[in-house]
Amino acid sequence: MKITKFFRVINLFLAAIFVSIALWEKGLWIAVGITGFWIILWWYRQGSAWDFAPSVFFVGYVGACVVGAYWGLQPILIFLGVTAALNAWDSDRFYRRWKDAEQSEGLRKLEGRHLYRILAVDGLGVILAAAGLSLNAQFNFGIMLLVGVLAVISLSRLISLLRKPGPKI
Amino acid sequence: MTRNFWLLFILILGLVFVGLFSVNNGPMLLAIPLLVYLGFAIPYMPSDPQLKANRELSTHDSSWGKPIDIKVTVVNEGKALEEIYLIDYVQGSRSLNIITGGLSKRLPLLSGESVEIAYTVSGQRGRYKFEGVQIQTYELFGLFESVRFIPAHAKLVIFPDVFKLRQIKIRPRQTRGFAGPILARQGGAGTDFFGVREYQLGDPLRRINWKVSSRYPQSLFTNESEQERIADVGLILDARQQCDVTTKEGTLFEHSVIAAASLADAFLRDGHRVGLYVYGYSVERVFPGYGKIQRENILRVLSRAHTGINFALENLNFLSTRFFSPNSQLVMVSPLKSDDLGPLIRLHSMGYEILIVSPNPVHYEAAKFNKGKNPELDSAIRLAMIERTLLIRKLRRVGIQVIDWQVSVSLDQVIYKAVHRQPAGVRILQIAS
Repeated sequence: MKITKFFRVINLFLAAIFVSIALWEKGLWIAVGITGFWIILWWYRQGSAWDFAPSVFFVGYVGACVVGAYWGLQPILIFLGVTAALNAWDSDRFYRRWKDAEQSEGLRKLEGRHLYRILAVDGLGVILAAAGLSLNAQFNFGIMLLVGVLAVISLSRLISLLRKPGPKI
Repeated sequence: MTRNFWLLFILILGLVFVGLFSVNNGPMLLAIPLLVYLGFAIPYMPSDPQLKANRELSTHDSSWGKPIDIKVTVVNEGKALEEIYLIDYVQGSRSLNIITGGLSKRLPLLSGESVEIAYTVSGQRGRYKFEGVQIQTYELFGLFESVRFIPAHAKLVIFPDVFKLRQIKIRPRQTRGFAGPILARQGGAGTDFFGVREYQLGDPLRRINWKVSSRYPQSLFTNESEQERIADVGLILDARQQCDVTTKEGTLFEHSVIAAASLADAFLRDGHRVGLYVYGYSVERVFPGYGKIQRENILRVLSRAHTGINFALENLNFLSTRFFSPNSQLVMVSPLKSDDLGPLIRLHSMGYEILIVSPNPVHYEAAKFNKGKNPELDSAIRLAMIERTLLIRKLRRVGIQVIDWQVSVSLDQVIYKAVHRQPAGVRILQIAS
């Protein structure tokens, strides 16, 4: 599990760096300090027995990034920060689940597969974000509302499909 | 779906709506990695796992404190599973102590591969049921889960402790027809001298009592021995909650169970026909029988014996005598209550020979208090002791043998001292005291 541990720390560091740069550009020194403190706290609480810890820090970080988006921070930097935070959240949970498991060849392969998958998520996310940022389309409020309602309906349909019970053994 | 899925889902919805309503692309942009992350998890969502479980126990019948090895093998007969978490469950009145190993395991499981959960347990007297293994399967991001229960049944019985007791001498009014250790008050084949009778054709010459015969010139007399036979022993275990004492260290009933098991073992070893009657919460019986199988049957019932309140059985008046052979030996293990005197006298008057092994509840409960610190408590203990001594004295006066057992003392020692004839000097000293 060394790779996952290393990946988690690297991503926490990246999450701190990206948002700090974005804040520094705007001269928001206090916000840099708060973000740094939050990330340090996250790093410090990595091994805590409280299972909710990574989720709390992740939600807190995403919330801070949303506020940052209103302050007009560079979108690409806060996007990269959230991606790094997502990686840290995921690897933290992965590590918590597997830390007590028997170390085997199968587990090492699984760790590698997990890493590839999360990197694929990052790659696709960056491509989509770049495409999204380069697009310039004008929507009126009605269309946006329609898109929002459609998104909610599709997601709820997807969830009900996923929750459908399969045949029992 | 796991809690993390819902967290992510709410976060995505929140970001989308904040972006839409604030007409700001920033929050919408932040939702992209989360959506991609969720989208990547969906194709790997765990479907119904095709698994089979098999359980092996090193033994199905064990005794108190003895280690038992349990092995559960789970085979994946379906497609490969990225993450599987197995938890083994055990049902029982008490808990088993895990000595080595663990009840759960997390691992990836390829198609056709198998996994073993192995652990060693020990436990207290009781019956334990293993139903199966709970299997949780996840994809790598831990957003989707599938929970299934795979049956892998097994039963485990942990017998109560059995102390080896020396031979207990009993004298029931009636014995059975087979040879055994009890003097049957009848002449016949045996070792102890019983009497002299007139010579009958076929008597061995070496048994002729020449001294007696010389006094009667016309007839011969033969020595006769006392027959030694086996007896019917009805073992009664008092499981009434009202009689039990519970402390932090345990319950007095546990000692009663151990005493009943040890007595059953001792009587069966002597060749007697032994039956068991557990009287308390309900009535549980083992019909009289002999030998090792009967011993196991009795221990099996004792392993699941527990105390309880049943108002229909709150006193010994309702003890059914139809279960016991007439004039047989009854051995009762009971802490005794003051209202037990009448029913026990009634049983004795019906011709049963009664031996009561009574774990001392006053002494057991008093042991947890510091004597001499609270004078009121000391007085209460003394009064309870006096009340109990009087009850025992009344029972002894009608011919019921009562063994007052302070559970901290060895049962064998107490029974041996009470049942066996003491040397004359000791008896004189006892009378004097």
